[in-house]
Amino acid sequence: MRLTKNGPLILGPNRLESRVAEAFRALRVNVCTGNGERAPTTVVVASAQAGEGRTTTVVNLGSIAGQAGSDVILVDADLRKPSLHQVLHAAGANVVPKNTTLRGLADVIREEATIEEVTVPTGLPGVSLVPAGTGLDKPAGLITSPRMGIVLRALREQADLVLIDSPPCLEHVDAIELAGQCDAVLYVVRAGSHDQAAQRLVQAQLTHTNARMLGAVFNSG
Amino acid sequence: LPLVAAGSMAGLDRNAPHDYKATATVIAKNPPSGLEKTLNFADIVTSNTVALRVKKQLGLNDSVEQLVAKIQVSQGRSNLYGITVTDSDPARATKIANSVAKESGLLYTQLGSGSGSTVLTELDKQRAGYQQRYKDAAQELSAFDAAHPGLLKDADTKGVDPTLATQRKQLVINEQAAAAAYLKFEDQTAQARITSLASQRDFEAFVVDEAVARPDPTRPLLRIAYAGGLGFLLGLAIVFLVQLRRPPVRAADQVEEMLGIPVIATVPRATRRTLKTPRAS
Repeated sequence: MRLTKNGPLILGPNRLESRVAEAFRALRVNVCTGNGERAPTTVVVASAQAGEGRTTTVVNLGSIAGQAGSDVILVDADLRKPSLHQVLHAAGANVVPKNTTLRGLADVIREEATIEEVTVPTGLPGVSLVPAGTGLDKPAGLITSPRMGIVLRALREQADLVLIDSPPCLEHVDAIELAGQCDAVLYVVRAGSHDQAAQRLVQAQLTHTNARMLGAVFNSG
Repeated sequence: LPLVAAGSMAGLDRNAPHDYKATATVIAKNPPSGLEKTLNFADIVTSNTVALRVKKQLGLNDSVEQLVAKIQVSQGRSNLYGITVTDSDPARATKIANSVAKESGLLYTQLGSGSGSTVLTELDKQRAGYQQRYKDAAQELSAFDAAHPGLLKDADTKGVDPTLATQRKQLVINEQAAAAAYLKFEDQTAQARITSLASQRDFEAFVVDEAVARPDPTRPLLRIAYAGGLGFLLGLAIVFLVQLRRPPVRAADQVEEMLGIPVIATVPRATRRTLKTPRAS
């Protein structure tokens, strides 16, 4: 997660004309127009390793899309290290305090709650959040369970754009599994990444799931 | 990585065994006239000859170069020299320091006095020559007198054969000349030895304080610093090699080439400038 002086980089209304916002606007256009193909609704934002800018991309792309009039749901599917609600809270978005445990995706997969019950507003226009949820001491198997497909279909019904933050591909298989079930994959690479072989490996794994690779986001910061 | 490497190296070195220093003190006289300044005690201490003698004496496995590297000499204002040996084994450091001090003193005295030089060997040869010459002359005279027993008794009488008398006189002169030459030579030799002894006193060297090993308090810190620096450089070298072998991704086209998918957005580094709203022109 990249931090600025004002906390995690989130493009609120005061930064909409900046160069960074412009880059995310371009990204939104490419994502929402399907980059020449059918426009996706559920998009997994993936990266090979932690710290490449995955969560920041989810939040900023969601913020820009929300301000453009889309109904956006951000889903925290990183059940091992959930951070979306923390990032939003630290940036001053109107979500519950960062240490508060919210019901979320895990609860929906276990059929202990519905999507509507766990979706919370973020304070960013048009953007809602589905946190990681509770009971995350044994997260293995939740994302890869057949119930996840049902949850994704339900999410698709409720928003124009569903952005899913996933764990790093080199650490867990969750993102690869999600890629096969979602409409498209957005792959984030940070400048300075040395492990080109690992990046290629992840790319090959994603391709094997028949995931639709929307393209890469190059984080030059 | 360089900092981690530096820390690791320094940590490892800190736990490495200490070095010990043993210092023996030797007083080495110099000639007051300063005529023999070419003979320097400090040079003798760190000479290969002394190192070889010590190596043989103590049965050390170190090479001569390694041994010499362990020896340091310091001189104060007087003729006192401190011979310090650094070693990881305190007992060995003490033995080497004491042995170096003793052997240096002996070699210094030996070289200063000139004993063992070719001059003295030559003198001994000459002495044997003079002795032999006197013996030959005396034996020849005795043999002549034995062959002519009546000649000594009738020396003053007129009936003596003048040829024999002249012959005997010549033999007596020869014997006296050989004796004189031998005595003169002995006088000169004695004088030379006295001079040599005086010279020897000018180059005397004694061990005045035997060595005792003590842990080296400064060396570990210095070594830790060296090890830290070395680790830092090593880390830098590794980083450099990694960068050289696996160059980092720096541009969007590299990402496209690497992954085979299009880059659909390049997000600039979040700085005050890139986050600022540009002024309307």
